[in-house]
Amino acid sequence: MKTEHLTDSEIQIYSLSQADIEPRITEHISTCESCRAKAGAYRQLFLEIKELRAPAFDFNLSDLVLARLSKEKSPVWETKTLVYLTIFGILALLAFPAYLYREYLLLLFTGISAMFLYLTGITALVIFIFQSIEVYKQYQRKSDALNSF
Amino acid sequence: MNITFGDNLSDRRLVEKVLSGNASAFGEIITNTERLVAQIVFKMVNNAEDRKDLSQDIYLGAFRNLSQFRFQSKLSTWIGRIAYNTCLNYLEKKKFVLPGNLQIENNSGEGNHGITNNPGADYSGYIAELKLFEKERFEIVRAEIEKLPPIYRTLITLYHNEELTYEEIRQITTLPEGTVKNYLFRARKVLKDGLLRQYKKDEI
Repeated sequence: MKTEHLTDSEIQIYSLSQADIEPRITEHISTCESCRAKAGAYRQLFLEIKELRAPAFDFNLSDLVLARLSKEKSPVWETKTLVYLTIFGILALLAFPAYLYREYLLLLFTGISAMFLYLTGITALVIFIFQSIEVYKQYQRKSDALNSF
Repeated sequence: MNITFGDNLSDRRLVEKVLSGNASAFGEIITNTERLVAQIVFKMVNNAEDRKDLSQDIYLGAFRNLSQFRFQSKLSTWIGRIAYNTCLNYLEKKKFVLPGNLQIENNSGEGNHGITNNPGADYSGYIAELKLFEKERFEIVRAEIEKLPPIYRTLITLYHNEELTYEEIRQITTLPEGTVKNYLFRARKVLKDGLLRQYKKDEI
């Protein structure tokens, strides 16, 4: 009768010696020669797979990969250098004319009330902070997406 | 997630070295993870030349994306995932049919062994026979595993040979844990039935 024997998945679970084996499975196995034999066949199979020798490459993978890597610099190093150079370039572009025309720049802010200056400054700062947060969130989202690969 | 403190520290140290420009530290990462990558590549790709190219692509991909590794899994699992995806892309490009179903014989389905007359004798004989011819039995098991579709071969190897947990296999294959268990169940059953058939054939 079908119901007399354990299902194949129950026998597999038993053969894997998992912690969550139901007592009725253990009880059945102890009394059923057929299921016990089948569990034995599974255990034998698992043992054999475990003992199979792992395949290995017949070439030196490390040497091949490192040889190819030596032709390209660390992408992180390149990215960092590029970021630093860009920041330096932008600062230099801003600083040079600012230094040259510093007297005229100062004139721009004369005759304006301190309150107006503070308001403008605070507004610009708040916008900058919000934009930075948004850029950081976008970076995190992209980073998570890449990491989930 | 199955991460040991030691593994995580070692992974972190190696990754930081590589990211700071020490490419040779990547050699250590290759040495530490090569076995797992070989298991996946050998189970999914039959052509030796393609295996050579793919294994290099896997590590070059890992190197280029190393800064994106967030230590949310073991480094080996992360590289295993790159290996699995690289091989999967290769199989898709080569138009290999990826398995959805693995045929399981009806006569030995759930709840019915299909062997009702003196059922224990067949299996007991089979086990005794297998214990006698150790060398042959490994070859038979290896041959039966080779008959499985690539993904089933890989799952069986990762679970039973590499002894990875369901969670680690899920992380590598991105298959839901239930699917991993289901595929493993089917593959084990097909293997067991195949071995039994082989035993019966030899007996005749």
